[in-house]
Amino acid sequence: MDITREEKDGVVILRLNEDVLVENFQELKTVLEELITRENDRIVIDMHRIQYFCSQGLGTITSSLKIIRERGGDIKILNPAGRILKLFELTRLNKILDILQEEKDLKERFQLPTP
Amino acid sequence: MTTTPAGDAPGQMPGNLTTRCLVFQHAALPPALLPLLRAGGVREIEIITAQQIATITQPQMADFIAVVDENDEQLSVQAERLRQNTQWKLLPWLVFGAETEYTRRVAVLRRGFWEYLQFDDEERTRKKIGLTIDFYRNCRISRHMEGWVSFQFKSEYSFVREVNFFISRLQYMTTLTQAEIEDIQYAFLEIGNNAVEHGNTGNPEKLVDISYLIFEDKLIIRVADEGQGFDVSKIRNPLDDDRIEHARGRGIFLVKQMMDEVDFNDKGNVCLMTKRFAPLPATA
Repeated sequence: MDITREEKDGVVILRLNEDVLVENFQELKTVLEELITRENDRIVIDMHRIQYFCSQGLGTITSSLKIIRERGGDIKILNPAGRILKLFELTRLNKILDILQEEKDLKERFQLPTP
Repeated sequence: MTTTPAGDAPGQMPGNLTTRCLVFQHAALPPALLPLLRAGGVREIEIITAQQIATITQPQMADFIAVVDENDEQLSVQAERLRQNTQWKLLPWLVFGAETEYTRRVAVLRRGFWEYLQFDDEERTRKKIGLTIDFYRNCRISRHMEGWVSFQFKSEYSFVREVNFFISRLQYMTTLTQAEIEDIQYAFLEIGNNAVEHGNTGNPEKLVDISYLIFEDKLIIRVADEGQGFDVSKIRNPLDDDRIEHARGRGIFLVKQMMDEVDFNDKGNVCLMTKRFAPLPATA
């Protein structure tokens, strides 16, 4: 799975360059687990390039989110396309995830209380 | 959405979708016919004699019908009788013969058959079979009539996606919007992937059976796997407070949001999904 990783102001940005499918969602899981192990607890997942996110992929995010929030960090979602946003809305994950529309002041966003 | 285009060669459907042909024959089966059909990509051939045709009433599943040109009166009469039925009529009827005369070919086309194909023109005949299968599979959907598409594929995720590509063509033929088509595709991918992963436990030799039925105002997709099934009543609502952060259990929930009806059989290895839409306005 093609994921570009960037680090800015202590925030790790994972840019998903490829749809998250049942065949490859494990790779996203691996990346998130690795970040958790290294205590990189400020993660932004940039979804603007993708159109499909399998249900297991959503589960990967929620299970990582649980661990990271317990440590005071967060996983935020950046710029999901309409299709992906719909998945978050239908599963009400939009209520528990912080969904950002633009990539600015990321550091400050992590200091605000999470939804 | 990642999609894989259908096969390049005409007649080569995505995955290993089986091409099925009914051969209508009375006097004798020309030795050249079956190799020709196989060369055209037909995997399943059922030979039906004129006497058997007389007893047929229900439409049968086939991609096309090959009629052997025997100038046989009984065969012609029975074939014409079947063609009174809309579903039989909408199947491609191809006539296979040795006749090289243009006039004979025209006579066949005038009677509503799709094509006259010669045994000795193997190259053209083979291509024509492939084109017919492709064309028919498209227009079977396009007529927004009662119809069905049915096939089996091995338990591999790539086949699920290839079938999904096929669903995308519905947008040109029904009142379904692009967003609704994407919902259907999402639902089909989730259920299809479940069938591969949980149902058939990833064993590629086990088959997933897909049918979709298109009605004037709804689409029904049936997905069946060869697995042990599961207890449908045990699906928890992922919106429950104690479930919202769980890793699993969202797939079927999402499918239910995106389709109008979702049902499983008692065993849990067959899923029926329905999506409703407004009928196309009647055209003059």
